[in-house]
Amino acid sequence: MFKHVLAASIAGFVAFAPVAGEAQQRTLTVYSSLDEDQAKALIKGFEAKHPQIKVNAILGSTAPIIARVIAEAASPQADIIMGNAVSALMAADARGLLLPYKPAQYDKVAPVMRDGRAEPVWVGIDAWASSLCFNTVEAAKKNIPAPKSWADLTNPIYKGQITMPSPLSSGTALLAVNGWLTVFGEKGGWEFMDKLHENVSKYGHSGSAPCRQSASGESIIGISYATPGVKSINEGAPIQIILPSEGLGWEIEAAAIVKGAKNLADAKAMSDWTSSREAAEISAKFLPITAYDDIQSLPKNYPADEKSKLLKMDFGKLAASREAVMAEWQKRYGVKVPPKS
Amino acid sequence: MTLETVSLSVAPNVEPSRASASARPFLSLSGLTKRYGATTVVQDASLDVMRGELLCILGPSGCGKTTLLRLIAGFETADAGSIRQDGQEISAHPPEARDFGIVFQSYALFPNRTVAGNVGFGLEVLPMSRADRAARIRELLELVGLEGHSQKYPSQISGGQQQRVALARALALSPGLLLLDEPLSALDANVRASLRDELRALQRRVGVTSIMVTHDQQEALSIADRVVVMNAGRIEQVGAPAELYHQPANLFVARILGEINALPVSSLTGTCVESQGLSFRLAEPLGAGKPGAFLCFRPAAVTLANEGMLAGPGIGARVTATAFLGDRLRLVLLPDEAGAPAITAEVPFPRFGAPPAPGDHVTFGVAPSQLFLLDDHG
Amino acid sequence: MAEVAITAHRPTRQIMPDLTGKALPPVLLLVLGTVTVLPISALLIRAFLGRDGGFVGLDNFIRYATEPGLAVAAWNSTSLSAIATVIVMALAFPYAYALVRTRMPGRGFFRVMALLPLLAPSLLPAFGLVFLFGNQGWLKHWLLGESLYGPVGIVMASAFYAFPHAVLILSAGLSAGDQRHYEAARALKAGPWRRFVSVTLPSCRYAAISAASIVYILVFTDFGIPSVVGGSTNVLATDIYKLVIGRFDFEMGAVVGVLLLLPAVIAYGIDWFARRSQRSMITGKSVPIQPERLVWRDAALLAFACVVTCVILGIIGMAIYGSLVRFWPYNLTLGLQNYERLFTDDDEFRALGNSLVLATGAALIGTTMVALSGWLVARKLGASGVRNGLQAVAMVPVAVPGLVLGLGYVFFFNNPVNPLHGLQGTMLLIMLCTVAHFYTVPHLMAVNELQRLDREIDMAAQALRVRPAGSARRVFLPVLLPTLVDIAGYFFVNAMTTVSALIFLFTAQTRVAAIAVINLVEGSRIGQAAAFAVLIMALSMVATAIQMVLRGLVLRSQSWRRRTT
Repeated sequence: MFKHVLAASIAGFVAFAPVAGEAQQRTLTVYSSLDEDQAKALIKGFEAKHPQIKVNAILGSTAPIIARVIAEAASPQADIIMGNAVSALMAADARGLLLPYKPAQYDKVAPVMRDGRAEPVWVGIDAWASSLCFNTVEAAKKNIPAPKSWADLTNPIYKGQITMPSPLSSGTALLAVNGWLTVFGEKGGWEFMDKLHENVSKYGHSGSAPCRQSASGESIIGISYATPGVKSINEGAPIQIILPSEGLGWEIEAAAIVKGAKNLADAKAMSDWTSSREAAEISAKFLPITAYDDIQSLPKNYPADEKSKLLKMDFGKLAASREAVMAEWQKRYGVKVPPKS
Repeated sequence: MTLETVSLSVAPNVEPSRASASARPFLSLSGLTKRYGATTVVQDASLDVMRGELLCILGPSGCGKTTLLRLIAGFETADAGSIRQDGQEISAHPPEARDFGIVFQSYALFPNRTVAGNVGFGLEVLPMSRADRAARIRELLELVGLEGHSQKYPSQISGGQQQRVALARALALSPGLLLLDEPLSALDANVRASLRDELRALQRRVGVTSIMVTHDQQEALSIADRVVVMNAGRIEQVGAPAELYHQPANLFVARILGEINALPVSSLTGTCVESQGLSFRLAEPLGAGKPGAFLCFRPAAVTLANEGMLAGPGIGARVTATAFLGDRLRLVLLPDEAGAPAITAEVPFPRFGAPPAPGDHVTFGVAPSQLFLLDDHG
Repeated sequence: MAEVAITAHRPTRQIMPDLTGKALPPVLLLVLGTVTVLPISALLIRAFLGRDGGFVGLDNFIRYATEPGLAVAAWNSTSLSAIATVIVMALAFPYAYALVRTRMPGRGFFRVMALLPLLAPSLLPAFGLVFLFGNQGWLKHWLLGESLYGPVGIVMASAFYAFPHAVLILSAGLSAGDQRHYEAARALKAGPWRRFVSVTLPSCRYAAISAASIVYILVFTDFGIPSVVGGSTNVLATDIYKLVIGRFDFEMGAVVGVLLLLPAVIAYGIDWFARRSQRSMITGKSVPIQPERLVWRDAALLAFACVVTCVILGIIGMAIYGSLVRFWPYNLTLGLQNYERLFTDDDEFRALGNSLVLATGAALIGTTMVALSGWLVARKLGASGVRNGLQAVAMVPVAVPGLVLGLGYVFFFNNPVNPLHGLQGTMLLIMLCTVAHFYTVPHLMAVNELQRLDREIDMAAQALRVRPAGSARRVFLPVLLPTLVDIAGYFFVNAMTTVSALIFLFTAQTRVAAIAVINLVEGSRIGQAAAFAVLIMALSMVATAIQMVLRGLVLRSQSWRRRTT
């Protein structure tokens, strides 16, 4: 082990001089919010195709990655964002930080996974949807039934048993909120959230945390998305992933090239790769919904009917109303005093 | 710089006799002024220090004496005035470019260095051999009587010993000027007295021009060639101890050099002085009367009627307190005259018979030659 | 050569102007300012700018003030920090007192225990607290029905996190007393309690004020704790996260950043005031404290220290336990499976190596800078304006959340206009950021230690024609050496665990272990995250052990510290 650490330490010191060494190899800096294993698999596939390019990946959550891109605007460090929520990418695009590019196989990508503009800025990689994580063991202890729909969550029996992320800091929460506004309409959506608010014990910062908390019995129901639930089940958590009957708010994770990319040609190569069928087949090992409609897959323990429950959503409108929704949410629930559980 | 130019001996730089003969002062301050914001701590101080002499700056705390010393050392920069040392203008020089050694009240020894390490601190930057340096350190430690302690640390020796180390350290570079900032104040009374005498002897032997700051008039009078009295940032008077004691320039100087009876003068005609109902006779008539001046005499100038002849008419008084001072007796006398102030007297302890006791009635007088008139300010 | 006269007079030496005293303070101020105040300002200036970069005056402040929730967040921050400060001081004072002013057995052991919370990434105690007091926690009923998630959790975790800082500062302050004061008080027939109230308390007033200020500011600006155990309780530090990260509103985030600086500004005023009144308390003539044996007091404090230590060990032990079980709380089979990935995944391994590089570099750079700034401030070198500037700049980082510092670094260094633009993306920049982030406490430690020497020491050296640099090397450095070992250790362990300032700065090559822990949590690999956090703590423990051995060796070599031979 110590040899390894020593070698790593030396490598760390080499990082003092970022351009030293590896002169024959080009580097490409990729920011990604995809699932870590998925991102690494996609990068591995890319490097296999382009052995002369070394990918330097910075992985992080949706919002911090975009915040970093915005903060670095004066001198962009990233070449390409390989996977981030489209709504967040739009915030960077609104600041003029993204470069339009139409990847080689753009037209083969499922229409819903495309930007749609004449000069597309993003191209979809996969999509993820709202879901509930439900702890069966704790629920049995308290004799609480499993919810079947979003509306069920407003039942007083769930008071203090639900956690969800705050849409002010989590893209996952935002897609749930957008889903509710789509299902129940503008007015009905907020009325639903008013009632839900009575039952929520905690609004956190991380989109995956509610599912983790459900998995460790800290709460019974977590409003989250499927992937953390799948991972927890694989590790042995007594939870069930519930896809509420009204339908699921969802969002696309897409790739976009950063304006001012130092390695533009290679960034374009990466964009071509991520929108290829081959890459979609890799992603399909992690998520059922990818850029290619016809690829059928279902990762282990992943809920089977996610794709069929996706709501029809107007992403353009939702992106435009992003700040207004946040402001309204802050006004209504931002100063919540949590109810005693 | 070469080794030869550094005096490695502790022999006198210059014979003291020659020093007194030479008219040119070794250190000359003129018009030194130092302000901190609106307060002037040293005002227009001018002073000549002769080669080889030991000068004491005496004054109450806050009078500016330490600031004056720090100006000479260069730890403070004067707002006005000049300092010449050995013929060179040095007021713009930083401390390390000046030629002095200094001893502080707090000793300020380096806690992490041995006695030898402290003494040798300044020698280590000089181009001299290890053996020469060791010899020099030994010589200095012998000089202050600490031969056996060279490997001890400051925390392992007494206060008196620490101050000797500080002294040896200050002399290590054979400075032309030795500055002593209340060097004895932190010591016990008996250590203090013996170290005072040692300090004086050592200064004579080495012959280094020295300036010592103190608030203790006895220390100043017993050790100094000349004393500078300071008050509120100003130099009040400079002179030999006896000169100051007997001919103080003003009441402030008179008071700081020792206890004194000071009575406001109400009238002065010829040799007759009236003060608060008491009358005294002077040895010789003074000039025109100075209203507001004080008639002064030391307690020792008082004689009791039965001790011998009184020069003038005696003053009747009651003894209110006595204090035994060994061979002398201190008395507080309250004259019979209504409204007259209490007088402090010091008389020889009577060899025979009972000494005066509180409640006794005595008659006293003051020798005319011991009376002088002083103003409040110089 | 025959002309050379051996003269009894000493020539006036040609002395070069003293560069150390004149040039070093401004240079150090420039360096320290460049890694702290300038980047922080680069972000905070945005509080007064619109999104397009134009000056908008106080518009952002008004916009923020009218936003619902501000008052609640501000009140939560203020009150919870105050409660945590009171609790920490109430625990840390007797603890520090027991360490340096009594003859309680096992003082060395208890000193190490008090510092344990410093060694763990902040997620570790958060896990520990959840495992103990969360909804599935073993001791959940101790909270009497209160939920951990909320004010209770924030106060508990903050107290755990701030406790070692308070113990460090207080024990330094308490060990700097004068034995003669106690002898004098005894002569005046003062009993132990009176001696404590009339001598001990006043003598450590300054340390107590520093400790309380630091604790308050640490809690006030910390983001990690409220985000994990804060539930829905909004505080200013999480507001800034929501504004900057969630809404990409850097301008409003800067407004909160400015608000977060307020306690530090107040604390700096208090510190300045306390420093003025402290001046005469300790002199070089002080006799070191020799604690007396008081059986009842030592026994009571021993019991107290045992309880505190048990709490610390309980929280950390619980987290270690959590890293060893298969799936908390449903599958408690013990095993090392969570550690396996750390030994098989190259990226995680590299992160661990990077952490060691970062920690070593931060310790070297930080210790060097602190030694210089502490010396210049404590020994009053250079112009007073520059010196006060240094002291003020050194006080800033503690008041700044890591997020603000990290973002500031991006805005400041990742700008082609900046001549230091080349540092962007390097490990050196991450080291500097880490040094800046943790600068305040070591700086105060160095200043306090060096202020204990007489002011006249410098003058004595000057009179011996030894330059400030010479006396620094020959006197102050040896005196400061044990403290410098501690300071290096402080930088090292903090660099091992810090996250918040680095999330905007790390690159693929410079990703460190603490970031890897966050990534693991985000990837829902809680067990592996806990395991990695435990591993980081273990490395920090090794570093601390080395630090203590070094300190012991230094102290042993410095026989002058012992009063008798």
